[in-house]
Amino acid sequence: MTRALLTLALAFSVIAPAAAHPRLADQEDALDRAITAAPGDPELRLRRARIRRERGDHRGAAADLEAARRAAPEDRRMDLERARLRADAGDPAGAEEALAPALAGPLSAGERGEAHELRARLRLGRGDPEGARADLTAAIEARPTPERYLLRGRIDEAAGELDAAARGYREGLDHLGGAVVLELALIRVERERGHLALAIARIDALIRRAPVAADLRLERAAILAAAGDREGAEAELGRALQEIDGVLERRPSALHALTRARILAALGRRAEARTIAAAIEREHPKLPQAAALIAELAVDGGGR
Amino acid sequence: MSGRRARSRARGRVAPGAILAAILALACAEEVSAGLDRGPYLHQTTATSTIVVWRTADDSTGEVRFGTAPELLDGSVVSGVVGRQHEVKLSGLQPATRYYYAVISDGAMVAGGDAKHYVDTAPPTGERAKIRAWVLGDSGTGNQNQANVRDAMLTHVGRDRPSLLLHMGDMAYSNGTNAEFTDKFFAPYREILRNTTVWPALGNHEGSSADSATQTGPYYTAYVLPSAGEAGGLASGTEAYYSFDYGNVHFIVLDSHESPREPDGAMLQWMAIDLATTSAEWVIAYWHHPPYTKGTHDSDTETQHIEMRENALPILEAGGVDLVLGGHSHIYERSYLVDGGYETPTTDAGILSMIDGRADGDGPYVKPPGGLGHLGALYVVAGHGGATVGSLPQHPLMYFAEAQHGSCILDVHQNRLTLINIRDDGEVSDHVTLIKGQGIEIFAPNGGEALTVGGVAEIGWATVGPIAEVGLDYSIDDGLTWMPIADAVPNTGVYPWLVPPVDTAKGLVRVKAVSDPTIYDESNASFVVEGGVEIGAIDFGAEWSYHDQGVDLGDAWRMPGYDFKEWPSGPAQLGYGEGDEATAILDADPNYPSAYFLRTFDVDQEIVGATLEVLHDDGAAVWLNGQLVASVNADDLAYDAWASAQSDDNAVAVFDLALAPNPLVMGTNVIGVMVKQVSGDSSDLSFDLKLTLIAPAVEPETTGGETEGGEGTTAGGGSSGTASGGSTGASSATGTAGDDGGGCACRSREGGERLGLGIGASLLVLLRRRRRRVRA
Repeated sequence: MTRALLTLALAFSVIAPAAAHPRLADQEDALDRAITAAPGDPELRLRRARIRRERGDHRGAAADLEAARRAAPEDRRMDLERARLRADAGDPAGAEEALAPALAGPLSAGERGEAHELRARLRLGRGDPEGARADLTAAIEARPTPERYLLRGRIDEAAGELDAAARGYREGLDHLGGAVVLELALIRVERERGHLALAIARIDALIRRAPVAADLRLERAAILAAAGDREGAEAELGRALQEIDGVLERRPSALHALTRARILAALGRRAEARTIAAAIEREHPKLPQAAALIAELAVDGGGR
Repeated sequence: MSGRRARSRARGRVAPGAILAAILALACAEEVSAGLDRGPYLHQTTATSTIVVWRTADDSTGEVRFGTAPELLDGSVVSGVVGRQHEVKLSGLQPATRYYYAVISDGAMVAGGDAKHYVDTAPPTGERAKIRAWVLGDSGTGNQNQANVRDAMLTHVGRDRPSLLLHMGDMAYSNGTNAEFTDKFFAPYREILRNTTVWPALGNHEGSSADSATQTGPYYTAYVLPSAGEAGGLASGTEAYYSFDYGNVHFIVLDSHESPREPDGAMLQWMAIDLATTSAEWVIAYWHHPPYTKGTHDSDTETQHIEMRENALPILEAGGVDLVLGGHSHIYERSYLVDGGYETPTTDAGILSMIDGRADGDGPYVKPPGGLGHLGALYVVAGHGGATVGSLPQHPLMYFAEAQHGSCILDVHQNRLTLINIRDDGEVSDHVTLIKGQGIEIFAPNGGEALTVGGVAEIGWATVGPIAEVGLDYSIDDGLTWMPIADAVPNTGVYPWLVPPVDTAKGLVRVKAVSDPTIYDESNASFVVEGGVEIGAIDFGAEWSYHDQGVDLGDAWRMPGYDFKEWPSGPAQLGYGEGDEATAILDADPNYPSAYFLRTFDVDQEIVGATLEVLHDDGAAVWLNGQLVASVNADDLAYDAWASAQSDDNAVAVFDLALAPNPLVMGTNVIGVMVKQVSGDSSDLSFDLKLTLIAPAVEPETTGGETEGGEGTTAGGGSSGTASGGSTGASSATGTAGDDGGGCACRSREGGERLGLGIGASLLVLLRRRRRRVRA
């Protein structure tokens, strides 16, 4: 697996389980009463299983699912919930195993999409991006979401399939009416594959709508630089720096300061950028954006 | 959004129709609620647009008519689709403006066309306007608890309804079905939702019937939420999570139930970009599963809480979030100012400030300007809107927790944010304030109080930063105009205000830093001042003694006991040169600079205020028992000084006199007036005067009072109790002697009141009419 794919796999792997919570809340209390009255009702069991899973009560959830499965052996939703439970419990193989019958049987479009997305994540986690991609395509066909397009596009990007990535992001934007995470991903890909006029047009449209556009100007500068317009890129970075300095004066935040650090790095003032980024990382050790910038600056090294 | 709802949307501006006659007919018609299944309710209200939504029992056509007066709905947008649910967007509206509307289905008005159906558009993005929001969570039981919470909020806010409803989710127990939404959300809040725009977050109970991935199910059908940045912020591409701007606040609404919560996932990636591209002064975020709670849920053990805390909070706090709201846990919890508490289990290590955050307690929390972070945020759990409450041992980051039903009111004004918890029994059990940088917070009167003319109301405030002196003002028209209470008093945090003789339901006070008047605060909402009993003391046309002989009488003439029996007298209007005088006085050539007028009047009960109307040409100064209480065009009160400005003929100046200190005495009082000419060759001089005294209202038999409009009663709320204002209720004249028994009805204020025009007098000059003639 390439480093990019490994990173992707880690980023989208299934979340670790939460600790069990022994107490029941009102919602579960109500279900307890209902199940006492109708112990064989698979619907009630399924609902309580989901609540118990979310509470970290995996054993209780499994018992409910087993009872539900006995009452409604053909209902594939039980398999889907079992897959969720296995995934939450840190058993990706068990989860993937449970998804097979779920996806082989009848599910609603929403449930089918969710099942495919879950299997995509599981497949990514075990280093099968091709399988994950196929699942995401199926999930998108069932129901398109920003999440699914983003995840599939990242797989394409990591595999160097920029044309496919661009196609996917564009399709997502067409379906979802302008999700900014897809828009920015598409702009970056368009830049990387040399479709600079398209990239400029799209970033300009975003800049026009954003109250603070410094972050977006960074991308615009990168596009101009890719086009060989160094002067234009420098000017764009200058505008970005001026804008972010104004924002930092009016409403300082670590995110805005990170933007400034990225602008400085792009201007070649890497030592200043590193100082800012390091300060932010010290203050916000859990901020992924700070860690990413530190890593980026460390990889590139050097600079003024 | 593929194949989601069976509902119609109409967007775009429609040319205003000249359909006044039809509208008037509709406006007069009875509201036809039969056939109206839900609504009307409002979505995505911005500075220039709103979406009116309603649902009929059967398929119908739809139309919204709107305008700036209920009887003049001269705009119209037609829903082009026949269906049950109609979503009609009104565009091209003016910011911060009230629009009335009527909803038409199948040609008949089914709602609106009256003063109760209106929408207030948002202030322009970035503007520091007053913003009031209702924070409600886990309300959708349909039981009495839900109703009590609603009613307690309505009672507390009175006429100052919130513009926004921030719902934390779980609005339709148990499964968020269509019927549950109708019965447990749209029905109980019907009268609120027609004016208050709802901005919901998805709860787990809606989640059981909704699919965030596909935006389908009753939740997504009922609500019309922004996915493409329609209300500010960046496009999320989904209604599951979104952002919007309102004035100087940027709101971020997340889906903690169904959307992936990883830092690299679409939701949190979108949020990071959205945060980086906002410059709003305030950032408020909310979602269903709060990051910190020990109510009916435990944020240390449940997945959604943990993931939102560990993944969303680091980004939000780096983006400068100020307030994070949540529900799910059926309790009210309010944190200290905290930062960086991401660990599981949560400890108290994240507390930045151990004070209570109350303006009338330890003081507000303060976020200093500047810095790269760790400035802190407040965390509030408002899951107590109706579902059964409960609690675990208190969360270490929470200053206050209470397992009792209620809801919160959030007020944002300039650089100050205040949140109060209103319990279902009407009591305000907690309040907290956050100020950015230097600032002021008024905590009394702060909305909902009923003050009485002549009573002493305590103005209470807290300040952040070096503010030595403050100026105090009051308004009787919701802040359109302001009148001074005191120009500069020491910043003690309290001022006993003698309530002036005004009658208003739109009272506000304002406290500002003398050194920098841009630092100020106003009452969050309006209070009532109930008028006292008006007593006519001197009417226009009354008899006056006068001295017109060009002699300087010094100061003695206006003092009590001065003998003016020998002065000539006659009825007003007194003066010369215009021909309308009832009594002509000496018209010397050249003019004398000043003429004197005196008379007495009796007072036989406590008097707390007065209204003075002075017809003057040109200048005039008025003394009561030797105390100067009003002047106009008379900067220099020496006998031989001319009027400081020329007046129009028969101009009338009106003064509301707070009478502090009160110069009036029981028995005989003397009023003296010096009328000044503007120059030696002016052609005319005029004087008349009307004095109306204000006696305190009679004690009512019961406390409290109805607010206007009948949509709730004032409960003496405000964020921290009722200002002392004496009695409330309707006044009734008794005409009997007062009971002060001390020979003086004075109520003196502390702090060295300055005399002169500043004695609690406000001035309205009614200019009139005839052209001035200047002697050649």
